[in-house]
Amino acid sequence: MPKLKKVLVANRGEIACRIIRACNEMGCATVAVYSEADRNQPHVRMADEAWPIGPAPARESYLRLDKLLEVATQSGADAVHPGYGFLAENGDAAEAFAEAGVTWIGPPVEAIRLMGDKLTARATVAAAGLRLVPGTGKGERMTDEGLIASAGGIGFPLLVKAAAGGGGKGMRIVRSPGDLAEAIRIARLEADASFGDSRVYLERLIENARHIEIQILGDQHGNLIHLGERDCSIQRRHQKLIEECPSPAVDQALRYRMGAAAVKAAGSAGYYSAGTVEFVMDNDTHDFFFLEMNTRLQVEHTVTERVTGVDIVKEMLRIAAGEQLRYRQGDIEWKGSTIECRILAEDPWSNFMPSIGVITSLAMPSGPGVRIDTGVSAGSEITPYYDSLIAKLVVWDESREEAITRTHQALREFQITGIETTIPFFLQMLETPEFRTGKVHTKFVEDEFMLKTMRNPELEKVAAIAATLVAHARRGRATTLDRAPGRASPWRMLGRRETVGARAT
Amino acid sequence: MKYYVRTGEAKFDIEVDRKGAIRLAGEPLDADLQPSADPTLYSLILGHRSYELRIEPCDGGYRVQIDGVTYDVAVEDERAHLLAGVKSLADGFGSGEMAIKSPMPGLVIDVAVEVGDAVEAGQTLIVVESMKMHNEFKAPRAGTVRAVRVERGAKVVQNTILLTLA
Repeated sequence: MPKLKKVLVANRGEIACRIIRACNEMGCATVAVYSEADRNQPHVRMADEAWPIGPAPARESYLRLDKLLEVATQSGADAVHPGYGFLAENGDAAEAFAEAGVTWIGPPVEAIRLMGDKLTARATVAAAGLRLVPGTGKGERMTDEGLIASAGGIGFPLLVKAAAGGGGKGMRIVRSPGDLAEAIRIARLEADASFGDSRVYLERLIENARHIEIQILGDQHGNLIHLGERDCSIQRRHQKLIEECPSPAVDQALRYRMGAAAVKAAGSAGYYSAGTVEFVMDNDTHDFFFLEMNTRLQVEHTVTERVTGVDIVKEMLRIAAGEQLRYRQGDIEWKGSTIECRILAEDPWSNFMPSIGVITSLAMPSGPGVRIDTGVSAGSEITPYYDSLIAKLVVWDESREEAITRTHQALREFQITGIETTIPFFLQMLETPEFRTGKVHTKFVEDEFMLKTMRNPELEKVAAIAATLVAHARRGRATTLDRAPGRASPWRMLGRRETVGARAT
Repeated sequence: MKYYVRTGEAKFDIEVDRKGAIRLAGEPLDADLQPSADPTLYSLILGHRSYELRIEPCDGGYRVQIDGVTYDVAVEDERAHLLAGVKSLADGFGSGEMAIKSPMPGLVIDVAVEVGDAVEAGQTLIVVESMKMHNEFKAPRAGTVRAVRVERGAKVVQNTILLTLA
């Protein structure tokens, strides 16, 4: 298969910029697409070509497969990178591009379909020998006696769940075998009342769980390796906030066991390209169970890149062009520790409510070990149409402890005005003893962490003085605070700027 | 000129005289604030302590960002301070009509109250979907729903009045 010459980047924001960079480095031309809301976003400026694809709502633009196919054909793109979200895990999209002669930079259509359906995904990986969260009775009608008899094999605590369920209705937590019969009776009553279906099943309850996922990489010649784990246990309503590699809960032996399981799962689906196998891991026993497989590039691929040195996006391009994987499992080493913080346009003080507006100024941290992937710039408007990710702060250092310290420093340097962000949340999260010692779980943010009001008397005083001086200058008083004679007066400078501004408006 | 300055629960009395000399609670301060070509970027040297700040005007004051944290600072000069005192006495505390506005554009998913309903502080009034998330607007204080200005399914722009409480 020949080298890719021109890549359609069917996405927006930071991931579009990330893909355009990789294409540039590989000598591929790039074609950006944009909605009416995104004309002034950086990915449009970065690409070699830019094509409008419709109004702001994603359904009318980034999800319009017909328009994307049209742009691919008209621009002469020979490949398409879907990024994440939008059409990235849409088997029909992958198939349609392939039929149009445009290479899909991702896994085969069959693998997308197989893993996209929860039931077939679970059945496939279970057949390959992976463990699912232990349970019994789902999809079949079992008697109370049958359920009770199988409970021992599942272990306690466990959940009694309604087969037709949802929203916690018909769900009971059972901590000891003696309470099981009564819990099944009540769950059946609730399930019958709520769903008109009294079937219930049992599932192990993992109370102290971590989200651990394994990055895999495979070519079209049957080579498949893993790049180790990412720990994404700091999440809120299933939205990941911090990801790190390595996980403080995974040692080399466990990494290889989980890696081998992930490779098996991917192999069972005939997988190639980059993908992620997600597991729920019991913090207490280190047992891990298959959750799902994401058949695409992941937001947090960056932390794996930093620790392994593998550029996952460039590898995806090479794999799509039919090249052999350049790494064997033994080549992969994990050096140091990397933490990613998702800087979101959300207000952590108001229950993470989206913060919409124009970024009036933006200065991002830099320095050794600091990487930022972003798709916005000063002047960018954060609209309600797309997700709230504005930047990924990815920080490496030799040890996890140093990486935390360096991340904290970088967060303090991160200046952004005009919108609220999750930066204050990360500053506090990184200081909790639980995070510092790595003793967190997937419900930590929701159930235990409390965002505190920042009380820093020194900085409150500094803010008060600075604001007063600005207010005073704006009164147009001809005062100067300069101690050194001959220096330009800041107040005169301010006054001049405001005069100019006033004239312009 | 005397200023009454508040941020969070902290209050400061700051005086800037005609020559630019500054006093904080009557004590002289050595402060040098320099703007930059970037309109929000400032350097403040206080004594010999150096700070980098982002300062933006907002309703009733300024937003000051230092080391990743933003402080909302209300600055009142003597006259505004006196006026505010008179106004708050006239209004009483926390009564009067109050408009609940949408801080962002979005789609109204649910209207949980009707005109005339008595609501408690913290009670959900309206749910607006934006950025793929549902945002609940809660009553900032107890009261009665005076008017509901939107209905389920309505598209709202930023600062749309959703309802008013009395």
